[in-house]
Amino acid sequence: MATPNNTSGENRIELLQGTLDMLVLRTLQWGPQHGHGVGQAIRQSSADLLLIERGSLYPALHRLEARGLIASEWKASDLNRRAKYYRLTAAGRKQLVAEQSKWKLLVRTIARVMRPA
Amino acid sequence: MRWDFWRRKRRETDLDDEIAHDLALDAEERIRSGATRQESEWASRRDFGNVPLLKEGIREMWGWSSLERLGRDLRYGWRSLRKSPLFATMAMLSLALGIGANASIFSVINAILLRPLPGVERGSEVVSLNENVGGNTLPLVSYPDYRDFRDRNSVLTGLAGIGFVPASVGQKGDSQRMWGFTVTGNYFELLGVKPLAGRLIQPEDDKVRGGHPVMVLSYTGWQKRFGGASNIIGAKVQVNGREFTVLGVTPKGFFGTELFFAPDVFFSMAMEKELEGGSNDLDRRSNRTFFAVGRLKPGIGMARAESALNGIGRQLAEEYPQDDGGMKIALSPPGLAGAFLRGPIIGFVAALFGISCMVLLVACTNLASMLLARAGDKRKETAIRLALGAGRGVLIRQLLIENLMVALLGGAAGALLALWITSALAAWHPPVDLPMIVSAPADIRVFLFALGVSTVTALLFGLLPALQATKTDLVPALKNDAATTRFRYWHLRDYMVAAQVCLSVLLLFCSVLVVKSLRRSLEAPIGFQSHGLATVSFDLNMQGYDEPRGREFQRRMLEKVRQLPGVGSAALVDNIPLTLSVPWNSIYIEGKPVPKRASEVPSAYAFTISPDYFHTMRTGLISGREFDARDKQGGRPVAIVNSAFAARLLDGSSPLGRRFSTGPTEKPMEIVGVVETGKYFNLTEQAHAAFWTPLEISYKSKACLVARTRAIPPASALPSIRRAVRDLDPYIALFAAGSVDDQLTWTFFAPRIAAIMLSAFGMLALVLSATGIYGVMAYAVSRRTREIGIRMAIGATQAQVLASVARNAATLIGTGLVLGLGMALAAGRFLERILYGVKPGDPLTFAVVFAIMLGIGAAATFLPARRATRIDPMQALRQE
Repeated sequence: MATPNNTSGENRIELLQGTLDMLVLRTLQWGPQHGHGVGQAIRQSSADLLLIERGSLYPALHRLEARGLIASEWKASDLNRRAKYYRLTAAGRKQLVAEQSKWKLLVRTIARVMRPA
Repeated sequence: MRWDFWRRKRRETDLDDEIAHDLALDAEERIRSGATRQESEWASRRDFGNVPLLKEGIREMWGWSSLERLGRDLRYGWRSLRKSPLFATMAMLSLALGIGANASIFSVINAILLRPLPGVERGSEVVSLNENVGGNTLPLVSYPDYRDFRDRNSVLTGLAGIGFVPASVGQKGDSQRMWGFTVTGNYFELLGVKPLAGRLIQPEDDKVRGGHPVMVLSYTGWQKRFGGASNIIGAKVQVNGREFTVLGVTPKGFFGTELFFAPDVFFSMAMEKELEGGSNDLDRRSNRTFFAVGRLKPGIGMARAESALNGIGRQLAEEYPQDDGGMKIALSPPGLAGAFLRGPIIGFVAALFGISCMVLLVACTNLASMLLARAGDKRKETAIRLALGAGRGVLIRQLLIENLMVALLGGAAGALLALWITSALAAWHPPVDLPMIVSAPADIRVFLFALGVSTVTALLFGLLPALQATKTDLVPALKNDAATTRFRYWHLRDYMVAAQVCLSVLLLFCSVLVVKSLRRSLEAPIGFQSHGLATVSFDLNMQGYDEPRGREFQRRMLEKVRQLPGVGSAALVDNIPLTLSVPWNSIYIEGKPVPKRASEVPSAYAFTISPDYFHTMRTGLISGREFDARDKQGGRPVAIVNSAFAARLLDGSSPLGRRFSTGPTEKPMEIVGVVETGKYFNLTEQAHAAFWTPLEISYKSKACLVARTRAIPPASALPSIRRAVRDLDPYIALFAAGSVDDQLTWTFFAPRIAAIMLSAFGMLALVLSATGIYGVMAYAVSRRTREIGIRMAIGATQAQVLASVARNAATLIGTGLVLGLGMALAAGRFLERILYGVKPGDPLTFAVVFAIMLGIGAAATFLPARRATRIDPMQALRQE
């Protein structure tokens, strides 16, 4: 199977339930992006370890949009194609902050539990 | 809503574009890393996963508006119905018949009971006043009583009097009989009727007796007699040979205050004597021949008004004990001859409505069993959908919507059917010499009714099958296995068959019973032989004859007609029995004490006849003699009575030679003959007293000629009779000419129409239950194909297979029959009161219904059972 990256399946990380929304919000913090771009950005910033299924990504985008955390508009992309660009809303920014602190707490807590005795 | 729809469309294309954009970018990346274009496109599609599923998930996130969901379900339902047109047609047809029958009856109920009087302002305040003294049943009051009630009461804003008059309208020789109302001056004002043209009768037109030769035409009268001529206002018209002026025309929707009597013309009450020749006395307190309608004062209910009017009634009874003693007043909604027709009509219509509801119930169980069978057919589809994760609620909703579509289509067809029936009814003219209108226009209420019935039907009778359908055990259903599930003897469908049989038996039993009783009452002796009698009526007063000239005319006319070749015998009578206009009289027997109160005086139907009447009518003379040449003008007053008169009023003692009078101060008459008792007012009446007096002694200007024809049908004797009369007076207006059988059509009409409707409903129930049984049995056999195949493969004979199928059917039908007959027995008790000459537990009826139902059940089972015996074991085993 010809895949655009060389990461083998074994090294990939299963995404924790509920974290995809946070990752999407985080990615959009850098500026408006279309769906494909969001997926690529997450993959690149995770050094190809996180491969987001589009079957999850697009529902997540639409879910966030329905909740008012992100907004969308159609714009010409860099390659001069019409693409749907998503951007953070004020509510989304707030949500991101909240999720980030929740996430940090979770990581710290789990790390404490998992610390070698 | 529309906007919402467009927004969704937009979102759909957006989503498509977004996905396409992603796929394109992905494929480009793959191409850049060295794959061919085609490979890349395939790969990115493969990687993307299930696009429709993704879209479906995203769509859910947008949330469906209820309208879109409905649209989707409707499309689904439509597709699903189109896939099984037979089911859809059968279901809709049975519902259409059930709802059509129901909606037609409802439109009649609506027209005569629910709708206020057409064309009347605030009709709900209008009441009809019924004065009851002794035995009168019509809502009749006398004019003096009317005046007292009008002037003394404080509960009505007004009270108007109405008389019914026939009038001969037009030029001599070109006159036409029209029915009209004589109304008091306040009539139109009280009802709030505004003229369509000209003006209506006002209080000033009812001041001087005989001084107001004016008339108002109803819209139909104007159209019918005067062709809607625009110059009618102020026109001079001959009425009974006298010149009347047309004042105006009433609006199109106004038919007077009686639903079954649409007058062509309205006269002033002051002209009563001129119009009826003094036969209808305005000053006699005991002459109860007028109707009265009043309008309740605001805030006063009917009960309170009634008790107030009864107070006045008691005053009048004290003041005039001879005329008004024991008088009771009852108020009722107007339109149906006061309380007289209302009770029977409500009873009749309620019975019809009940029966049509039962027909609907049969249609509904039919629908439910079809739905159940269908649910069985769709078992696999349902299981697949459930397995793929469809919610049960969604499936139930879709099934209900599908049912609702069937029901609404069926209901629409039913409403059309009702519309057709009621318009046929409106176009039909009852065979009577009265301006009757039978109109039950379907209005919005009828459609709402049909809509409501359809919806309730679909939800009520569709829910159970839908619940059952979605309760599928997935694994066996998916394995396509129909026969391995444990064979259950009583399935929900089976209950439906039993219920259907039960209802049909009940319905059939009741209709057979009632039809039989109606036939009995039609065959019961009516006291004369109507077959072979020709008749023609005329009123000499309307032609301006005085009494001596009238007597002469009647005598010469009888002579001439008796000599006509086709006529065997002929006689004159003032009213033919059973033609709705039969007067009665109070009876005072000589030697018996005079009752103190008018209400205790017995009454008898009164007829005035010429000699040879009983011979012509073929009424049996029991004792004494007929009237003959001895009974001349100014001669000894004599009378002939019927056997019921002798039995009831003379306590069975020999009547010949006894004397009675029609008033305490009237001259007594001697009884010279006794004839058999017949029917005089309607066919279902109990034996009623009647007496006949000679026309020679008590002259009547209005008379009906009856002639028994010899060897020719009555209708062919009419032209020569007409000629004979015209020879005497070329201008005379003859009416109600025809055979007596035709005249009696009306009397026989109500029971006949009832019999026809009941038979129709019974047949409808039979057809419905036959299709129901057939459907369920056919379905059961198709479901058991494999089982039967196995049985036959291991050696079951055709007879055994037949027996196994038939046994099942027999159990269902038998149970339904037993339950139905039990219910029929109970229903018979309720019917007992209206049955005539038939016992509610009539064993023959039971046997007939049992046989019919058994026959239908057998026929409906036979075809599926035969199919079962023809199953080829090899094919059956391979098939599934």
